[in-house]
Amino acid sequence: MHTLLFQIAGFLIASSGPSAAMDAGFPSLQDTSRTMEGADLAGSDSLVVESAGDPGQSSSRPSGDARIEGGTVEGRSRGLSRRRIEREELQRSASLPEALSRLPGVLVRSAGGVGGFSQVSMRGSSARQVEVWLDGIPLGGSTGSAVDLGIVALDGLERVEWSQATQAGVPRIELVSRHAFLQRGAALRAGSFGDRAVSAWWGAPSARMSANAWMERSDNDWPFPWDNGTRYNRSDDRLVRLQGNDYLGYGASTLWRPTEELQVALRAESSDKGISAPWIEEPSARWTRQAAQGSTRWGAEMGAWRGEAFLEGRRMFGAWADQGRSLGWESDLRTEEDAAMLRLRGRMVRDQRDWNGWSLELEGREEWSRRRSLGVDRVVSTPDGSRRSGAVELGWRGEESGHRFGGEAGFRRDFLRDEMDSERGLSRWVEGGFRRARAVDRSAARLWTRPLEPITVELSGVRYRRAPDFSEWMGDNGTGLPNPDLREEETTQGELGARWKRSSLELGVSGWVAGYRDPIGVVQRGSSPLTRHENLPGYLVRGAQMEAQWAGDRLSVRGNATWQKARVENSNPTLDGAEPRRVPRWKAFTSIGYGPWKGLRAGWTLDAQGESWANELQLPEDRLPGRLLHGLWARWTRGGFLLCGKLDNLTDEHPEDWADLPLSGRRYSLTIQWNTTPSLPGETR
Amino acid sequence: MKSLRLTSLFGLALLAGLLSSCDDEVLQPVSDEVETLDLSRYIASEGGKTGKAPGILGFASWNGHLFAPLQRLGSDWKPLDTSLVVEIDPASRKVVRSIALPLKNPYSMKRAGSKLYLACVGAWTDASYQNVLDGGVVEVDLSTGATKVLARESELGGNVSDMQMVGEKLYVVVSTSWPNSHVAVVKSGAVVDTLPGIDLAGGMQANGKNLFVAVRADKPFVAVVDPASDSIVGKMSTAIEPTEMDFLSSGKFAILATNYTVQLGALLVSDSAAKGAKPATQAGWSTSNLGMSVQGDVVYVLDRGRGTVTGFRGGDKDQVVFDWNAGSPANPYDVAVLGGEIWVACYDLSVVKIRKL
Repeated sequence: MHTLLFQIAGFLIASSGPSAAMDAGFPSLQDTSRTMEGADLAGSDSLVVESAGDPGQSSSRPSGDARIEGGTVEGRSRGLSRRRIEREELQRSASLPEALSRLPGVLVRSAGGVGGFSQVSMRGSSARQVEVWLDGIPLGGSTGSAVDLGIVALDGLERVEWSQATQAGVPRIELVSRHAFLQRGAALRAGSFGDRAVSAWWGAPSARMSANAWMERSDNDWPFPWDNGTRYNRSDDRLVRLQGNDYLGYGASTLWRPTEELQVALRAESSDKGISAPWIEEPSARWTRQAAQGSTRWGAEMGAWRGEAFLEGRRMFGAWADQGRSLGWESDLRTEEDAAMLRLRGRMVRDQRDWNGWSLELEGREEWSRRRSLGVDRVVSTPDGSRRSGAVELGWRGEESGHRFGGEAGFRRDFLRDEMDSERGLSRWVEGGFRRARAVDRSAARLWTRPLEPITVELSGVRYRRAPDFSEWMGDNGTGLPNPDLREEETTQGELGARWKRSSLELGVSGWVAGYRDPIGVVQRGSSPLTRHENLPGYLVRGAQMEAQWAGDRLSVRGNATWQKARVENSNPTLDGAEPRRVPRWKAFTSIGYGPWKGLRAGWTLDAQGESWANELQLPEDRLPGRLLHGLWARWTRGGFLLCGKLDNLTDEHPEDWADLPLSGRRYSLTIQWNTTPSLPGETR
Repeated sequence: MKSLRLTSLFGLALLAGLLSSCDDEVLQPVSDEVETLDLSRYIASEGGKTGKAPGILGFASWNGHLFAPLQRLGSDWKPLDTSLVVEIDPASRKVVRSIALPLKNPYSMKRAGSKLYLACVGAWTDASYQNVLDGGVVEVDLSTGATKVLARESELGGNVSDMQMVGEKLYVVVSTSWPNSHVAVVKSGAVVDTLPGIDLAGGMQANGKNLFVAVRADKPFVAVVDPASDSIVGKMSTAIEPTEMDFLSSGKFAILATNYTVQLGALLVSDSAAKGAKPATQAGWSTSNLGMSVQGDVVYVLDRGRGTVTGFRGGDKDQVVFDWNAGSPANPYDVAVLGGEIWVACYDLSVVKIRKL
């Protein structure tokens, strides 16, 4: 009953789900002060320099040492499978999931709207296999690998970095908090379906401290045609609006750099949203989440090496409640999850332009989670658990002195020890609890060469494993059996591609193969209602993608397309070889922009996806149509003032990423922003 | 500059208001005359604990009346109060008799003549995931109200989930250690045999000649069993794992198949139930939370999550004769058709919904 919503709610609490971003343009090899869309610095919110090593280690330096970059790293190839979405592109997106959905090879599934439950998969992976990091701290983990990206506010982000294959070998989305050094300002946003947002940022003139705060809300009550659940009976089809689907999120972040070597970052945020669906007559379920995280980073140059030490922590508190009549009877269902992570790590990096670019990282981490059923009616949930882990990661990067070829490789081993605490939480646990120790490896390698000046050819491969979440191997106190023998999921990927750049034109093409072994899923057998997580048959995904971008003086064009062929492997002959449901064979994104002209820039976007299947039986009536979502945007800047408007889904389509959860149709948003750069000490204007 | 900002804010507010008004709401409630039979007085109540709903399992139609087993579980979905079978007079819309069951939590039922057979599972497992053997198979005489325990879980060695009488033999699906579900053969109250080659049994059905057992293996099939020899004499391959089966009045054989892992459901129909028959997939669902009820020549598929009831004449997807949403909280478990009306057993509600066909 209410399977999907209970899955969503269960995921939100257990942070484990069943069954996985993009850019103004892929990175250029040469430094440029202008992004693909011709953004001027009035639209740039910070002077953030990306450290040339790990894309996840952004370091902000005072202005005197800054290099202004609109999405590039000077002279350093970042690879075919790495992208960055800068602030301007984020600002022109309705949500983080939408911004990510425009990346090649990335599939976003969203319940829609602001704050709507959203998951990301990459190249056929499950959402659990995509790591999401926020300011260098992983959001997923033992409590649940799949991350809900819907509740990450765009106004709290400076940029998003996407990597299909990090040096650690794992697909990763890196979210970087907004830290507005040397700037201050505020922004207001209003849009369809009660979308309202306000944010403000401040940076000290000394560039030692910055702060950012945001709030966003939405009613998410868009109308859509619904068949009332009766696909054969048209007489009861009608237009409905979702009730109880509202969302409120707010947060703040700050960064303090008392010295050149030391950096302290803090971030706290809260979200509250309703869980609703068209088939629920009286939706009353709500999900709230509060999280706070902090990190202290110390770095120092030691000759050719740079040493860094990090102390990071994250605490999360989530609660789900349904105290109405969603279920047909008066219910009092409440469950809470309290989770935390503490990590200490150190790195040594030798990042030189030769063959001896080495990095070594050691890490120690502890995580735990506690779950409680608090209402009168018991909620099924997983037991309390903890994980202690240590890791060692070795990386190498090198290139020929003439920048004609190079490579990088990485290897990481995590030593994990999970423990189920049978003495706390609910009473239905095996006496003595369970313990599970395992070692999980990840590795990646990349070779690139530039046979001719405008052409770069790249070959890369990754292999990584994901350890089961607590909720996958510990079972629950309902009908979920534990399975301590559950093996890690294993993924192997290979990619071959090329990139050509001449003047303002860049083209890229690549082909890839991804093999997924031992994916974890829930199984029910025989007549027993009991279930258990097991390793399922693997599957193979082949794909190709192409990208193109061209920037003239005023006109700019960019686009990408992904073709992907996935086949389910199943011991059942009927299902073996079927395409997984709701995975389109192709997707594409196109954007044409014009400007600036007297401070005005405008453009058109198209998000497209091909047909897919509603389920694996793939009967003729199970075919789902593709989608074409047109959008328009315009930005006008004058000094520090910005006015940005966008109109999405011009033709009012209502595609579904999940069955019976249509996305919103035509919608608009308007943003007004004021941003100023105060005078630096000693500077006169 | 200041006036520019104020003007912009005003313009923003005005534009927001104008654009918001473009989304005119069109909400048209569906007009549908539905009667309800209130069974809330049968909600479990014992020892200070109460349940949420009576837990109606379904309907058995006999002698013009409907007989509905009520599980009467607690709010934690564990057996609480005495389970009942209530007799409903459709004409008066009243419960005219209630029969107390000697075992709790009826999980499935079959009617043969004036006898109703119930697999009462009691509790499934304890806190350590060990089976609790407190249930069994109960026979109810619908004419006299007498009850008799035909087999106990303590003798069968596992939880019971389905049963089928064939002559004097009682076949029972028994779930021992997960995931095993075998079929025990009971005669004169004693287990005499176990059907060979079946260890992932689902539901069962019989047609007077053969016994049909759903086998939910990776390569799923329906086993055709000869009751005389208790051996498999044939197989019918199915697209996905069979769960329930029944015969239409035309002789066709309908199978409801589900796969929990990928959340898939399908209605399969074959012209006959014989070894080698190939049930054809008629329709599919993107959920495994389904039920099936055959009424005459119509197969009703119940989407328990969405609350919809869809009737296929002859089991043919191109002959949909009924498609109705009983409301998502209803969790429809079964239907009965009589006197031009359809009665829907709503498991999660305290009512039976009745509407005209």
